[in-house]
Amino acid sequence: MEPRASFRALARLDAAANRVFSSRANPLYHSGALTVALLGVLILTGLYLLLFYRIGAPYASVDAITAQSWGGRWIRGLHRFASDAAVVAAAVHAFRLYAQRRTWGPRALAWVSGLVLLAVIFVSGWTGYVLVWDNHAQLLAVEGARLMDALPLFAEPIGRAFVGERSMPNGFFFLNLFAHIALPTAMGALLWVHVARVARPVLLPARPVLVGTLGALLLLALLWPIGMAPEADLLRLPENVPTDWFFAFWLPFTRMLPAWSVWLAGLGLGGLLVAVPWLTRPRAEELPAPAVVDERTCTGCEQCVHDCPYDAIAMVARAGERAGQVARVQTELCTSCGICVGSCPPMAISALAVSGREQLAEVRKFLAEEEPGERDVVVVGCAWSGARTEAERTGARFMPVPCVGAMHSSTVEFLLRGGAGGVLVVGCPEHDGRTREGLTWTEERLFQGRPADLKARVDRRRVRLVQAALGERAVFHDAALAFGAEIEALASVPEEERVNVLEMCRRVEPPPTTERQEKTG
Amino acid sequence: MTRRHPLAVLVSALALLALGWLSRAPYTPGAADHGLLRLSWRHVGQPAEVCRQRTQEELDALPVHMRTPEDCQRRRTDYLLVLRVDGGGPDSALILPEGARGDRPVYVLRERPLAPGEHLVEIHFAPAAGEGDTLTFARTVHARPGAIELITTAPDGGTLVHLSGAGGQAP
Repeated sequence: MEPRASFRALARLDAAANRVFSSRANPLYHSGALTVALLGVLILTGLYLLLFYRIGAPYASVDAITAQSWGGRWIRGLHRFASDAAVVAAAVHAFRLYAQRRTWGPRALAWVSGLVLLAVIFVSGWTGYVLVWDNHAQLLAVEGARLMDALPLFAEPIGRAFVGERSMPNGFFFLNLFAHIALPTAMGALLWVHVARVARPVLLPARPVLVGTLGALLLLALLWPIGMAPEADLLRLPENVPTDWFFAFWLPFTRMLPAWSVWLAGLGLGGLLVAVPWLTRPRAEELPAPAVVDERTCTGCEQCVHDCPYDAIAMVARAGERAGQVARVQTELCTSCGICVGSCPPMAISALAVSGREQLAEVRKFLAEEEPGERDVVVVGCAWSGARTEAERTGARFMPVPCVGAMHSSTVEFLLRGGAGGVLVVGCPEHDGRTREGLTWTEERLFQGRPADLKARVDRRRVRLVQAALGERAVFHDAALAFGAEIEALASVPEEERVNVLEMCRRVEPPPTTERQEKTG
Repeated sequence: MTRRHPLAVLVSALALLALGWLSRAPYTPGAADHGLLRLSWRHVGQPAEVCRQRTQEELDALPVHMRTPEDCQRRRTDYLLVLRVDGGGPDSALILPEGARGDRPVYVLRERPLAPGEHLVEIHFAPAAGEGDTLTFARTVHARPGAIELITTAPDGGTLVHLSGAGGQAP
């Protein structure tokens, strides 16, 4: 099926950012956590600004803060730039989820709560800009009042407060300050709802991204600080208003339109965004099936419960005569990511109609067709890693898997036992969102004994795991060449010390189709 | 990595420059070469109380404590605003009292661009029908580019005064 335009655009963006920053420091992969980190910066810098802000003299107090060359000036700049960057990061985060269709089913709650969070960020930003009471604030306040007066909410039109008849009362700034503090507090509760369906939410980006972003914003605040625009004058038409376009991009459009049409357009757009989980939900025949546990094979070890990134598996009492517990997938929470397939030692779980046993059947088929030799490196990877093309370039054999995070470790063992000299597993960056925690669990399964672990009898020198995303051909290329050289060196081991179990593998017949279907169904 | 670092620094610097510029890029919301005439006031019009006698059937249908013989609607008067600038055609508007029942004061908020220079501004604000408070204004206003000339009510509410964006109350 042809990928969607938004997906292709995101893939191109990711590939470009990976080439520039590397997949480990690609800020696009960390847009959600980056938004949270920037909100933290806003709270910290806002607390400092609150110490010096005076509702009785809003403009003069902000002017005094800006005049503090060793503190207030750059802290105010950092406050402004962090808010702008938070809007950008939140927008990228939303686009990423939309393009990857991570919006429907169990993720609908995160999508809708994320939209509410974004709206709260905008309203909070609006109140913050009004607090300065410069001509930018005047513009926002007057337009906001015009829009609010179109709603039958107030006993008197609030637009009259901004006609210039009298100076603005302190109560206006007190209300704005209260809202500017209260709204971010409410964001904490909203954020909790936003990540409620994720087992281990990541609220801070990777260190290179966090340090790099904060350092860059701080540098900008120091080198190009935010100055003071002219003070608001309600009897003057504002001109050359230094406008923050991240928060006020709508201003030129709404000013041209009647207030009712702005509300109508806003409600339409908001409704469309809220409806995305239902609009993007696949048709019934295309819905990926949730994971299924074969309760007869399940040993009740609970590993899948620990590994599931979405808390979608629970232990329940086993039915029938056998005592103990058995894992059961809560289908309404399952995103069909398949991570649980790789976590199950007895291969009792299948997702996307593939279980560990089916994976091994694919390995047998691959071994029979390719017959890799002791000097051959078999590359295992998914379509998103771009591993296939690079494997062909380096002459390595490529075995596709739906997802490296869902790969059972026995796949690697079977490949080696089938004659391959080495297995190079190529995984996608974990934070690109497609495979939450997949690469981490795979690494621990292959090298650190996390069940379902790669057995101790497997020579770890013949196994390599590398993270290489779209746009990181060089990373893969270098890793493949270096690993190939190591396998070449290992091939000099005397014949009698090696065990060729390809024939043994071939002799192991896969279970009959009917039985497999019965187990997974 | 040696080739990647300078590129990452360059891309980051460009992104920062874009962020810094978009956070303060200037915007002029309207043509700054003219002034603006703004009419804004609140006026508590006369309550146009319309009462009628309730019939016996209506009274019987009401709870005992609500059986007042008269049913009165305290709607306030509609006002007609007529504005003329330099003796031109009248710009008229019917101003309705606020509130779902029309029992709140009337609020006037109208704006009109003014070319720089002297302008004779005439305002007549009177009940659309019947007798009532009337506000009038007829004075030359000096419009300046970017300044707002505000016509509003004096603190006593009985007369219209002119506040100039060029500085304070006009003579």
